[in-house]
Amino acid sequence: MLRVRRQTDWAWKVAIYLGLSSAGAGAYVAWQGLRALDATWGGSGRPGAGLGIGLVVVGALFILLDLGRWSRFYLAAFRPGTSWESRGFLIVSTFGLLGLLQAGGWTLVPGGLDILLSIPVTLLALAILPYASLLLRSLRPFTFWSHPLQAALSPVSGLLAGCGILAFDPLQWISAAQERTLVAGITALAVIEALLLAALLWEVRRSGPAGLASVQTLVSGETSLEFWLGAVGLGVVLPLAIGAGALMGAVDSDLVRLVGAAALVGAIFLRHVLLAAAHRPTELTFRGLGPWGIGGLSPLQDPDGASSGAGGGGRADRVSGL
Amino acid sequence: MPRYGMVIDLDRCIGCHACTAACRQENATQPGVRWTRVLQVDEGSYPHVRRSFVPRGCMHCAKPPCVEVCPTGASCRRKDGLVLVDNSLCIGCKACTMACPYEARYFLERLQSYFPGEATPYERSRPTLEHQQGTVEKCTFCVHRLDAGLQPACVDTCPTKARHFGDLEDPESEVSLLSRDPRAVQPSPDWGTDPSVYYLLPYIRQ
Repeated sequence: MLRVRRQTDWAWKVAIYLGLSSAGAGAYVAWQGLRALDATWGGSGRPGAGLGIGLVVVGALFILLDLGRWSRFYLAAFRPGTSWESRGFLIVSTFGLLGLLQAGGWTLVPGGLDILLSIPVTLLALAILPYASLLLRSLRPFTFWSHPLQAALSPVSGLLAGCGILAFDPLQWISAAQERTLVAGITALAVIEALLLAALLWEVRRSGPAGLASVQTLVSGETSLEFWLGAVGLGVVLPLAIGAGALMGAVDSDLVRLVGAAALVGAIFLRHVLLAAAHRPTELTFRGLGPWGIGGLSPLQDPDGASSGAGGGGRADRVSGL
Repeated sequence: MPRYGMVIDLDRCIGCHACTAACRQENATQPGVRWTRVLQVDEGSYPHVRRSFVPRGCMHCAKPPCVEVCPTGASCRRKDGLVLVDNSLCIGCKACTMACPYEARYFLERLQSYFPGEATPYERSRPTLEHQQGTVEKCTFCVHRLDAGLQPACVDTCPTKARHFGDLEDPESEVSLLSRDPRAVQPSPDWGTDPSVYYLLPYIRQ
């Protein structure tokens, strides 16, 4: 079996960056979606949407802290043609700048600026939602990150945490009916996230040694506590339990805010464990031979011996004339 | 344009680690950093067992994933095939260390020295190869030696001539001939990186 190693290069700081940017963008997208369906959200959802924009900006500071030389962070904008990190830098920074401008406009220049900026900021937020999965997918040695279900999990997790941010509602502007709508959304997204997560783990464990090691690390290994308590407990079970309970009875504002906070923290834990559990192969493989050093002897035979195996021929030093 | 490459004969490698030592001396690498290293591989089960040594380092791929993911352009591929890191552009994001399937890159979180507060003679004599904290570094195929018309230090040092270096594009060159040997394989071809380092697989000793 191929030997694998867990990655430790990207840890909490990157997880917070990816988690907050995804959650913040999710809050903005959810707000714009709700606003399109019901105009009353335009005003009442602003505190949550503004908080989402702020969290994206705060998250960006965490990626700066992770850089070896943060003072040269602006160089990260130089290679959007090939690098997802570069694209992410441009998308997240532009979202942060335009979003802050829009949020500032809510109090300073009501009306025009909001309409003008809504479309580009929404497009940027939509681009941020799948960003984490696209970035990680570009790092090919980690098969865990390349699985197609990661591409679905990332936006769902962002939207779930985003609805949580809206539900957190720092200024308590949203009505009881709107709280119920949010709780319904959070409950539905928590169900979808749980299904996606289960399907991802099921599929990845069958994808090879690196995938199996990743799943074992998540479920019963080094990151199991963060996975079960943080990502699953806070991010899925608590929103699901409280949300389902609230939908069946009266919606309590404090509980809704608790659900919102739990969804956000759970999303960051989820991002962390998805980063921390990724494994990569550490051995070279050679065509037709499998992993080097494991799985038996090479089929090549010494020319002094009886047979020659895969492509076996003359000695190298004869060919080169040495 | 040439495409510099290396062929490593695993049948000749005796695991003496002279290449690792030569690399560390030549490039004055930090403690714990080995741009080239030799792995020991034990195969089979008694009585059919074999111990082999597999030198590993940067493969200077023709399609390097590290260059693709680098957000600043610090990781680049020269026209002669060398994959290098420009320390002045590196921001230490570590994307390249994770994208490299051969684990050939090192992130210098902090600068260390063998003798704290004092540089070794090798470190003092190589100011142009200053290692920078917070950046990523890797094997350069001793680019400074190539530019001076020399071979990489690991190739010059190898006592068994297990390492061969030259232009893979020149059909008459030694490395080009060796790379077409039936024993010659590129490592981990599934990654699709087209490495410029070939291995000559060892024969089984009956």
